[in-house]
Amino acid sequence: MRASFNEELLSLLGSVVEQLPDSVRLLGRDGRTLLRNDAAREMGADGLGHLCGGGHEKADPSCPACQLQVVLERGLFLRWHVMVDRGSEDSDVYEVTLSPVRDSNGDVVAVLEMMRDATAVLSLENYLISRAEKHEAELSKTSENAQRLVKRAEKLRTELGELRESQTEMLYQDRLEALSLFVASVAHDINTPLGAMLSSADLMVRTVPRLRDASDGVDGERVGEFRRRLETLESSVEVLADAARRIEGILRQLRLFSRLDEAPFEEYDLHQGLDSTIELLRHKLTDRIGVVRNYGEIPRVTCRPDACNQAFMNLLLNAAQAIDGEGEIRIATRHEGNEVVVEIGDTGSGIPQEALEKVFELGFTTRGGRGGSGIGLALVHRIVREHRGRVEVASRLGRGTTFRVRLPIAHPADGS
Amino acid sequence: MTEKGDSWILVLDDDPIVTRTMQILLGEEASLNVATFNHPSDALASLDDREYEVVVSDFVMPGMDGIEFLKRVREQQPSTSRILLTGYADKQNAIRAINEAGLYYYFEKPWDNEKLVMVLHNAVERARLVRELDSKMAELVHRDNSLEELRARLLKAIL
Repeated sequence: MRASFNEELLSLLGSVVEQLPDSVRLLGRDGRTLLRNDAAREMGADGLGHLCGGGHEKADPSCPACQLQVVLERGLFLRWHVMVDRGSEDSDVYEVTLSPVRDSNGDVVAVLEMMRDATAVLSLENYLISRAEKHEAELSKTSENAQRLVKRAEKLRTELGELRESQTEMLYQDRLEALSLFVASVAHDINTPLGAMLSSADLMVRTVPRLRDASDGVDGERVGEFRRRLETLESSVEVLADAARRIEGILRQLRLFSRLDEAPFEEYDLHQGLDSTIELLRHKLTDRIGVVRNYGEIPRVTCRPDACNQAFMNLLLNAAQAIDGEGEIRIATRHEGNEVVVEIGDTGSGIPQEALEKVFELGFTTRGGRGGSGIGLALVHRIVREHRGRVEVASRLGRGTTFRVRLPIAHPADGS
Repeated sequence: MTEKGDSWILVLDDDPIVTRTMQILLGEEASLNVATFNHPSDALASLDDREYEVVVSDFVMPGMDGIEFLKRVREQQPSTSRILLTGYADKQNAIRAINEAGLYYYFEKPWDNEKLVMVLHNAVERARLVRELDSKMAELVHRDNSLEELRARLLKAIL
């Protein structure tokens, strides 16, 4: 059974080898062909014989060291390619494989030679290599593109940021526009009754002393009471007049807030503006507050002088009001690039961190009930923004507050 | 100072709070006769009854604005001093008013009593002087005419 199975298996193997499209030969130690399949026969002993000196038994000029001997002597497995010139433009490439065949003792008794047409494989290989190279080139091009894309994305992101900023600015301007219209209309509506109130309060203030004069020389038990009641009237009327004047001041600021763009731009010496504003405030600063001027060399600034002075006035008033008792207001100016920087600092009570963010909002005040209308710093902010400048605030509780105004030297319409 | 009783001032404002204030203020401080109106048509009608030295008008009113009203006043009583009192601080309208209505003065609300009274007195004075001048001119023209007549009669008598 076993023998017949082996025989059957051998004949099956023989037929498989016979049918292989590749040339298969079994070569003896002497180099002679022991077995060959159809493909080997087809190629012809002569046809291939010259490659390896007649089937590896002789030295061949193209094979300086006969590979067959290497396999026989050293038992190595060898594989190489040979090019067979067919005389036409294309040549075939063959893959030659030599493998040792050992007997039961492990001695190499024969060599199995297989020759396989590798032209297709090689051309596929070449094709794959060229494709790989092409891919590589494309990849590097793609990476270049990717880098370019990254740069563009960055640019776009910057542009988007700028766009968002200008959108915010536009929204701010729109809101400001609406607010200005509203403020102007409210200011106008208040103006008429306020005018009547101021005028009447003023007339009452004038009338009281006349009444007193009229009662001079009048005798009678009720004159004392009359005089006393007149004093009450006088005090009340003075309060009324003061209150009306304060409303008038607030209204003036509100009107300025809504009518900034009426004044023309001109070149202006900010030091002159600061000095005259300080002079105007002299009576409010009195002796308790010293003013330290630290002016640098600054060029004339193209601005709306009245508006700038109003901004300085509000900052100085704010500084003065922040100081309880004695203290100092420090004013510094300097030239930085295309800007002029004006710093107005005080040694006052300082502003709490959470309030710092809101100081420029219209209506925000920390002096509720003490004359704070919440317009002053909002107006400063508005004026500085109208000039395309910036205003910053830094404060330490108990140490003081500094406002830093940056104004562009050139007209804001230039280059915008 | 002008005597109360012969100088008249007209105040027109659609808001009674203003006309009432003016009535009290000017009556007390300016020694002037004050007529106040809250409607332009009523004020225009009163121009037929009386000659005013000064007319003060609000700017924004329903029906007719202050400039238009003061133009009508100028047509009817050219020698009157015209004053605009406005709640709108608006330079363009001020210039328009000065050019179109021949404004004497432009006041913004809220006004200052003392300044207002002073300006009104000056305005009354101006109107009176203009009228005096007018009447002197008229008299001169009349005398000139009489002289001419006399000369003609004289010539006739001699010839």
